[in-house]
Amino acid sequence: MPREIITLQVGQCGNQIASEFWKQISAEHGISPDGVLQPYALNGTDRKDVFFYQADDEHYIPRAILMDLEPRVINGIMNSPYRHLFNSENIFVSKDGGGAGNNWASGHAQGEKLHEELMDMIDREADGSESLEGFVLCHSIAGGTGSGMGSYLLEKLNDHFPKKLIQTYSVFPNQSHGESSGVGVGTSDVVVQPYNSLLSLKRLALNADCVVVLDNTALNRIATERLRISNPSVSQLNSLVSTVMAASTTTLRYPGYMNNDLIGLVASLIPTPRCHFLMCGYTPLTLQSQTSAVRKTTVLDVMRRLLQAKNSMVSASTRRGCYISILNIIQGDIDDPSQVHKSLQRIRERKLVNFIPWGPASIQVALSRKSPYVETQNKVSGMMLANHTCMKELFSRAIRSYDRLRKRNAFLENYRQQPMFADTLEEFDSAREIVSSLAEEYHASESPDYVNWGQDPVAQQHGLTAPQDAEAKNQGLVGAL
Amino acid sequence: MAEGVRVAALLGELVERVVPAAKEDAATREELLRYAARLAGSRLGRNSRGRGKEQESPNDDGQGAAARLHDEVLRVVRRLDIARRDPAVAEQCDELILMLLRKQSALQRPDCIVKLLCDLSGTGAAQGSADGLVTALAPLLQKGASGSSDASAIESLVKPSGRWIEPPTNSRAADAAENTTTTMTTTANRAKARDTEALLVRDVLFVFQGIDGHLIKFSPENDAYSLSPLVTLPKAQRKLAQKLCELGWLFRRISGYVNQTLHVDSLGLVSQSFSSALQSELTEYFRLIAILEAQLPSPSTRSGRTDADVGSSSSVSETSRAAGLTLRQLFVWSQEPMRRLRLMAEMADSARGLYGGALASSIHMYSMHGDPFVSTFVDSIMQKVSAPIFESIRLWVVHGELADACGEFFVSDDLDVANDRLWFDKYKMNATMIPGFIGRSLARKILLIGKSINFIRVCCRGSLEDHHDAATEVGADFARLATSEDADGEDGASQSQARQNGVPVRPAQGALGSAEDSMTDRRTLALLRTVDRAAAATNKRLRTILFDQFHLLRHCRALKQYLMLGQGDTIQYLMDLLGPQLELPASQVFRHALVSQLETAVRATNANLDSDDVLERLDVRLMEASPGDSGWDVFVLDYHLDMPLNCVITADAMGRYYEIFTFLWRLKRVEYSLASAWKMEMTTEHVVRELHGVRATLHKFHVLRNEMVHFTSNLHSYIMFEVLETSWDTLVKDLDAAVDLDQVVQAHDLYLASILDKALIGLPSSDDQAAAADASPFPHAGAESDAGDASPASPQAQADGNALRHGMQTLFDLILRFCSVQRRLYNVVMDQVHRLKRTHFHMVERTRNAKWAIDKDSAEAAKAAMERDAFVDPAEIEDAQRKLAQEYDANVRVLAREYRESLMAFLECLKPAASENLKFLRFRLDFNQFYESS
Repeated sequence: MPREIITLQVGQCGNQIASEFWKQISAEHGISPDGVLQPYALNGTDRKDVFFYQADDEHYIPRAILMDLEPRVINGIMNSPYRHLFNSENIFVSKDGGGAGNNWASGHAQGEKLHEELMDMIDREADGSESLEGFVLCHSIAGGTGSGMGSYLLEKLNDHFPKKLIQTYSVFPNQSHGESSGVGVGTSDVVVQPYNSLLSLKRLALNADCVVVLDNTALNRIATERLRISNPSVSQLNSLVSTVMAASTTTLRYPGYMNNDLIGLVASLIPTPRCHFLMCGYTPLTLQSQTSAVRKTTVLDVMRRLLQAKNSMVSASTRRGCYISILNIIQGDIDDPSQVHKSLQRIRERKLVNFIPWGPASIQVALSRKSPYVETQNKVSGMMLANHTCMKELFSRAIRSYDRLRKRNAFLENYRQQPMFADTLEEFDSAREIVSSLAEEYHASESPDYVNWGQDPVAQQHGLTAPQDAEAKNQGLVGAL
Repeated sequence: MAEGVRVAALLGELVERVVPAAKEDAATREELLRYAARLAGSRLGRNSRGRGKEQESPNDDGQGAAARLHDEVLRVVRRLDIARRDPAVAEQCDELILMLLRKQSALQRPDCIVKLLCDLSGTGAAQGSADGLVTALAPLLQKGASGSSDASAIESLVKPSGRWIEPPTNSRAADAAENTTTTMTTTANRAKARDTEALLVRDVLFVFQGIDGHLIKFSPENDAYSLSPLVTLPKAQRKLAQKLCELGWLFRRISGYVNQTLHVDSLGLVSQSFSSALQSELTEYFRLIAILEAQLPSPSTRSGRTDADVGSSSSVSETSRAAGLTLRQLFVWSQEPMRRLRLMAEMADSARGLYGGALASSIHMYSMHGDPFVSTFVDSIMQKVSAPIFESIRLWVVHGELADACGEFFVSDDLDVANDRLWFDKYKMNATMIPGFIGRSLARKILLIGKSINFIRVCCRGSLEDHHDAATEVGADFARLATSEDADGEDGASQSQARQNGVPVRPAQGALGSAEDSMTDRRTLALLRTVDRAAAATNKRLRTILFDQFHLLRHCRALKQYLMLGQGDTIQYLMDLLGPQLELPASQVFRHALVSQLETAVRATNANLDSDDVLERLDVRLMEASPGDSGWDVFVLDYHLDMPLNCVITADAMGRYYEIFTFLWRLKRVEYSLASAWKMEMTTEHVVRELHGVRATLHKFHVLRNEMVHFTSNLHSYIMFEVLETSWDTLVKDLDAAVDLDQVVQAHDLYLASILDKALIGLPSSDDQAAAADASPFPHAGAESDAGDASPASPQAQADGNALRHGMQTLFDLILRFCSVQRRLYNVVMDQVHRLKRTHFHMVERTRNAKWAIDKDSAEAAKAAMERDAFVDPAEIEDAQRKLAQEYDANVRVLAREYRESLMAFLECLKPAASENLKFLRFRLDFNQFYESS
């Protein structure tokens, strides 16, 4: 099957959200927890092969590789009804089981150490597909394993599979102080999260092709404000994430005229290679055993709600800045295709969207089928993937948090224990620089002059000729040889 | 016309009598004739509006005309010998004529007047008495005085002047006219006249049968029976006899027609049954003659004849038998047959040269007559005439058979037409043969039913066994039709239905209307019901066969999935597989290679979930290549359709599918190239970002590429969702609503036309529209309104359409050009990156080996290394980058400018577009009003 996608779930958070995702799409494809196609789904025309492959006994097996440095979450999965779903060869748990101790450097270093084992697994999985389109990495950027080992994998994949796309679902830490819950396990109360985030962000900026930002802050806000859950649990938040992940892959799984592969999906969203951080939104949001507050869903309602700042799953406000691009994936029964047309007209009349001034931009709409096997309360639901300049706020916030810690040189001992930081903390500086240049680029993209971006001296001063960080910068290049 | 001739003849006679010399001298005669004609034309003709040829100003009031007429008549009379011989008679004459003049009606006919004059001159000369005058006047009075009041008025006019009329009896018979005639005959003449009359009656009866009598013979040159001029006969008798002879003349005409046609097989069944209907009417007529003959006073005929079979008329014949049969009686008796025979003769005349349905139509016209006598009579003929037509309809509607050796039926077939065009070309409607009582729309329905049956039998190879029940039912309906016993219960409803269908049915008069409807109308209604039932049954069967047995909708969907690229994953994979081959020139592309790739693509993607029936039909087709074409230009996916399906999706329609495919495939290819370009940018970003010298250039490429992606993805989604999906929705609805195959075909044609139109692939040129109209000669009501919407594109719109198509083509070409430039740039850039990498590698190596400087020992080695690994000095690289940047900056600037110009032109073309769809496309392409503001 062409255009397969291999999912790499790294760390506790990554494994948790990914296993929710597998639960969701298994149900949508009518695949039972042990991988058998349900009798009612035998004649489906959905495309299962993108995310699954069939074993010799016709069982469906996810194209997934589960990796963690400590066994708790993966053990949890292995004790769940889904234990037979995954290919046991694709599960990697570090033998010492000590985890990365919320230390990016440790995660990165262990990844390097386990490099051969990990890459073997990935290679084997990649060989099993006919024309691999790319990888999806699920991880959090704040902890140790997901961020550190995840970063390592991003670098490796980029070298090892230079022509494959890498998409990530990256959980950004909860920035709202005082709250302690978040997607994954306790990522937000990691003190060194600003260090981990910054270091991960550098890899996301350099080595990933498309980053779907799952902002824990916003997810918490949505859960409390929109879903009225006073103290959202991790599993509730994970279910939100899995809904979003499943929805964003519908056009790949239910082939239609357009957006049938990852490129088709994201190419129009990402105008220039660096601005590849996407925010998302979903409506109407429901959780299991909870009725939706939204009763009426028409295409216009859905599209309008997706544009509301309070529904966006990113903690930076979309009221400032502008949209670079928008893709709405509308799922469900649409009686009249012309509804889309009317909705778009209404949205423009009301000036509900503010677009970039330097090029054409519009709301792309993909109509997609809904799984017949999963009952939903609403006729129509919508998922938005958008590229918005407010992303720069996330980056500058990450830089500010980092600066606060770094000024005090706090908690650096653990990092210095790892070879990368043993001699110098240059890696931090490099990461900061790259993240800040990213923030700058996002800022620049709000102006009409963005067309001429890259010619200003500010951008040029990060040139290759600056010898002090040449080595660090070209680590990827050199490492490949 | 006939009157004019008659007037001329009479004038001639008059002239000869008045001026005997004229008989010898032709010149004098000629002159006199001209004089008389002028007289008759200018004066007498005045009041004969609408009768004489020489009609003049019609504004004279009756009074003045009468006065002038009076003067004129007087003058003529004075010139006659009567006046000269006996002034008293002249006076009486004058008086009589004056009285006559009051009865304008009698004098409105020039021929009557001339005849009067003629008779006056004749009798005057011979007898010199007023008798002749009165005798001459009598028929005139009778003729002019149509009402009884007139007759009595004349009676009162004649009687008091007892001086010259001596009535033998005072008994007043019921028939005033007859009485007058009788009383006017002198006693002396009576016996002689009676003998003559008996002879005449006998003759007339012969004449009635088209046989010449002793006294009355047919003269072919006049085309009339005429009394031998040798017979001296009172004018009234003569006139009467003449009138009676009309019957004979009519009989000749009718029997002439019957004899010509009755046994001529080549004229067809309708002609024959018409003849036989006439024949049987004539038989009835013969019976009447037989009865009349029986009443002749001859002993042989009198003996023991019964009139039982004459029915109601027996009492009349009873009274007349004693007196024998008079002309007058005959006249009365012949009135009814006269009307019939007149009608029949007229029908026979109008039927001459016609056959089949046309004949039926010509007869049917008479049944629309308001006179109930006429319409009932025609109706009874009509029943017989229409019988063979009904039989043809039955055969056609129930069995789909055409048994029509003489081309009488309104459906004809063309045996040369191949089966795949059966639906469109094989059966034709022969408009002239549509009987009047059926009408076009019903005829069309009938055509459709039989066509459908043949279609099922021939094209669908479908047995009609399932159809059997319906067929028997319809057959039974026809049996009832033939016996005309169809229940009247549904008449009201079906009549209104008939009117909706445009079937010519006379409006019902009041509530009892349907009861008074003629037989033909009722049969038409019954036929309509039956046909509707048959149509429903056949169409249902046809739909079942097309949709359930041959899965029409599945194939339409398959065409949408593959030829319209709906099966996105398969198409994408196909493009992956075919891309390299299609880059080759068209001449180097081979079908078999592509076919195997298609199979691979189908197997590997969700297409393999489709039914085998669909997948087996998928194929590759290479279109005609023009020089310079690459594989991309000639490659087309094909879909094989066999017998019944290719009647709906015709070869023409497939051609349109190819057009759509070519366009969509091109669009996909453009999109695909852009996606590859994007991927190149994305996957190389982490290495390329180090090359600062070219970053700004690359960024320009990114921005332009983004514009292009925006254009193609919006165009694509417009075409997919606004065009294909919406049209598909309409198609599904239309197919669901379509009743017969014509409507199915039309729904599909409309579907393709709307896609071609909306997707800017081809605005319908006038040729296309004509072709579409040909394909479906009978657009159904719904479609007609649809067709109205898609009004022929004005030249302006067509020009716009061309500009749009051209604009799109230019944009596509530009995008492909951009992609190849971008690819070249990235190749160069990546090359640089690799060289840079190697340099760095060396530096690092040497650093590790602590060789900081290029010392003497290592100088050689380093040089070798440089050569081997193409070691490049960083400065050199930067220089190369600068050059590269310059070159490609210029490139991208040109491309961007050209692209922007083309796009603006394209948007400009969309601006005045009348179609809502195109406006929407423009709106989407410039959603954030970027182009509008720039």
